[in-house]
Amino acid sequence: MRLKDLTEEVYKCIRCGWCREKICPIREELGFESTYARGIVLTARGLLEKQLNYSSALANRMYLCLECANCMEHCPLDVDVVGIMNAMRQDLVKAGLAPEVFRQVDRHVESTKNPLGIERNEMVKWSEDLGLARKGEVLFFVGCYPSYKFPKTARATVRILRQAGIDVAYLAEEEWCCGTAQYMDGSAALAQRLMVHNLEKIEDSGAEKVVTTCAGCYTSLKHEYPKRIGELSFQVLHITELLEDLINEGKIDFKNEIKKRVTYHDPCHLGRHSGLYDEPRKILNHIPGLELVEMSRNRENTRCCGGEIVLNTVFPELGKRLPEIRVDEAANLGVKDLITSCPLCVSNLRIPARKRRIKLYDLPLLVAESMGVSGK
Amino acid sequence: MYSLLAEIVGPENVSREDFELWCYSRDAGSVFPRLPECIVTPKSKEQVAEILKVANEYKKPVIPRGAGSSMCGAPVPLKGGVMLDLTGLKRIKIQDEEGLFVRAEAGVIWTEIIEVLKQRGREIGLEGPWSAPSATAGGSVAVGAICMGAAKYGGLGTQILGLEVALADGSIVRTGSAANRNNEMVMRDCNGADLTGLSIGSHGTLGIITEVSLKTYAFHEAEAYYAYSFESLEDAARAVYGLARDEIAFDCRMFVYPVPEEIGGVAGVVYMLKGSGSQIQELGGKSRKIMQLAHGKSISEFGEQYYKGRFTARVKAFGEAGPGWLEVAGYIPILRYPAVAKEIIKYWKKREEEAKNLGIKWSLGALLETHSINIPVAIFCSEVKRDAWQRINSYWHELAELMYERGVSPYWIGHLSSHIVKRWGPYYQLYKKIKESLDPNNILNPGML
Ligand SMILES: Cc1cc2nc3c(=O)[nH]c(=O)nc-3n(C[C@H](O)[C@H](O)[C@H](O)COP(=O)(O)OP(=O)(O)OC[C@H]3O[C@@H](n4cnc5c(N)ncnc54)[C@H](O)[C@@H]3O)c2cc1C
Ligand code: SF4
Ligand code: SF4
Repeated sequence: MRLKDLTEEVYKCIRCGWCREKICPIREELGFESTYARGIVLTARGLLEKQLNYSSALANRMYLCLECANCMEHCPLDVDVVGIMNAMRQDLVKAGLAPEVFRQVDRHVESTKNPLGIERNEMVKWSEDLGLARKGEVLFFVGCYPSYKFPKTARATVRILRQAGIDVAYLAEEEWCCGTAQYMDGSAALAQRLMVHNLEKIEDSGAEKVVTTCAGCYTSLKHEYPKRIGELSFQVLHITELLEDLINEGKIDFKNEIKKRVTYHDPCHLGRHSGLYDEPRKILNHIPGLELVEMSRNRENTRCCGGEIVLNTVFPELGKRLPEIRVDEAANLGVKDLITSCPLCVSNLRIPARKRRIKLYDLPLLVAESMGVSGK
Repeated sequence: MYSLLAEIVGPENVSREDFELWCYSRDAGSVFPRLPECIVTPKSKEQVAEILKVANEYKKPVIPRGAGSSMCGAPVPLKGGVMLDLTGLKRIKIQDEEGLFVRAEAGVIWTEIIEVLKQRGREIGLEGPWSAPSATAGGSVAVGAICMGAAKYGGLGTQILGLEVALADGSIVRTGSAANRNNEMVMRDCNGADLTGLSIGSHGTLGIITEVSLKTYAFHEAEAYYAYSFESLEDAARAVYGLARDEIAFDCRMFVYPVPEEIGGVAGVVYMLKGSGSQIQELGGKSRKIMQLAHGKSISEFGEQYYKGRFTARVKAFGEAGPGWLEVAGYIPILRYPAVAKEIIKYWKKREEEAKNLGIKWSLGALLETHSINIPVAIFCSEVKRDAWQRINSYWHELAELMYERGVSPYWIGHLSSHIVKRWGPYYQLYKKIKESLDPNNILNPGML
């Protein structure tokens, strides 16, 4: 949607400021109004009223927002801050004002179909010995991060599901980036192209269910695809939903005790964007020996771990701080293991976790360990 | 001057970007926006003091700002200048073992003070204004906010044990007992005149509050909520008067227009009790008698519903009615309420048709303070409707006149009502003299007086 289509949404804001303190991770670090929802919405109003113009300084500010939606969770008037932000970013992209890093990511996606810019032939390396089919009832939409950066998560997922009796198929190199980053960053046309392509390939595969381990891919497939392209002919499931079903059906055998006191980080995309809070916790509670303790900011109040590409490149200091803050919250509980269920969060949290000697798990890896199946 | 400010707080804490100035051009109310010349976000009182020294030398206006949640244009930079965002002063200090008092830096929000104390089994008597999730301690003291719990604890000033204030020349003063550097901020009535009081409601015109010391109390677990419907304003006011006289309610509010459907009648009264289980029982019994004597009809579920969602309910209602509003509010003796309320209703009746056509809504209610009643009249309309806004402004002025003529005294005056104070002859002269002596260059929130 364009900004002018969101005029009513912009004027809904009463400037109460409830989206500020202890809410916005960016505002907590940078002390200005324009860094959080109230200022973002007021800026949008300034643009609509032609009191402000787009500029690169404005772009740098507007690209700080992580779209973590914590502000929306606490907004008494349900102002669609993320929608307004997306609309402004679309305008910024159109005006050629988006920060260079985003344009570079777009170029990577155009050429390699993944935001990391890694050659396409690398994409299926993780699966070479697994003999995965291209067509099937349950399709594993692997996502760029598991495919290129965290193959163990992808392999563990396949093995868990196989042991539970599901022989998953995948799209292999026909799978393109899901488009999350692109629609979040205002590259609507590129996001649309990626989505149309993926949808066509998924439909060709005959899948009835599409499962993903990435919270970003999940939100994108589950919510954005139908919104932007049309009704889906298949069901979209996050691995935590599927695993919970399989546990209830008695198809998952947690053989190994894992004697650990762990905490769980809710990914924004899985939690606030999609409402999946109980599923991962239920799975963890099924693992024998495991004790789950909560960080003070959990579930709807989860604290975003930071958006890697944006922050690390444009605002490196902030990019370092945000994951550190989240890992510190876990460390302050005295736990040695931090679980999440999104490879993007794993990517963000891994450096500070290593520094704090905290072991970081994407949930499928922990499940695999308890089931005695390997991610290798 | 800009580079001097950057030297004090670091260049990353100063901004002159157009969008940033725009974001600081208004508060939560719908009063005329004005752009400041730059924004500074200090993180300590020392930085605040240094900024003031520079601004004083350059004779530049300085506008302190907390959450900017005022609805009366209080932190709008009428004469431009330096906008001082104080939300970076956010430490809470509990120094004695028991936490009998709590010191909060100017930028701390109310919900955080409440949370920190709760962990120690303590509470501040007042729960902050209904903007508690954003409103700051400094900003609330500076406007003399009326808080949740005012029926029991009174105005915010009654809970303050001392303040730390940075003056226009950059000196820092601690008031009350803490004027003695070897003492803490534990008692306000010390060391001569009550200089703490000078800052309460001063809207940043006399100094910048950097720290507030508040009384704390044992945490009360039990709460009870009540709602009653009344067929006359006089009965409703009598009921509220009874609650005040017998010191019963923790918080008490009245609805006159609109009366929520769930309550019905001519006026509704909701109140909340707080205390130990046995106290609540006793107070509940007493309050029911008072309500019966005043012919109130109990609508108990509404009280719970209203108070449980306490912060959200009002904001939602305001947002849905506008969003965009102007409010006139002030204090009078409780039993004078019906007469003033009737005049306000009469005023509106005459304009009902016109207002409706313009999409303008309004509301009239009351909030009990220990010894008086606060009458808030709010006028709502979407900020997009320009023609309606012009009309709202004239309604506001006419209503303000009507209310002040009948004795209503405004509290948060902001730029919206500050002109009223000019009428109170000797009081205004004294205020001005104090201002001239403390801030001879008139740098602190100029235009307010
Ligand atoms: C949804 C909503 C509900 C509200 N409910 C209430 C309510 O129940 N009761 C009520 O009284 N008000 C209410 N308000 C109005 C407002 O929120 C309060 O008055 C609040 O206390 C203002 O605090 P602030 O931090 O936002 O101050 P600001 O708006 O930032 O500033 C207020 C004034 O104080 C000055 N100032 C700010 N900080 C300092 C400082 N440290 N030293 C000196 N001067 C300073 C500013 O220049 C300005 O003049 C409400 C507002 C909203 C949006
Ligand atoms: S919480 Fe919602 S209504 Fe309040 S300032 Fe933020 S965006 Fe606006
Ligand atoms: S989405 Fe997250 S980062 Fe963006 S303004 Fe809201 S709370 Fe802040």
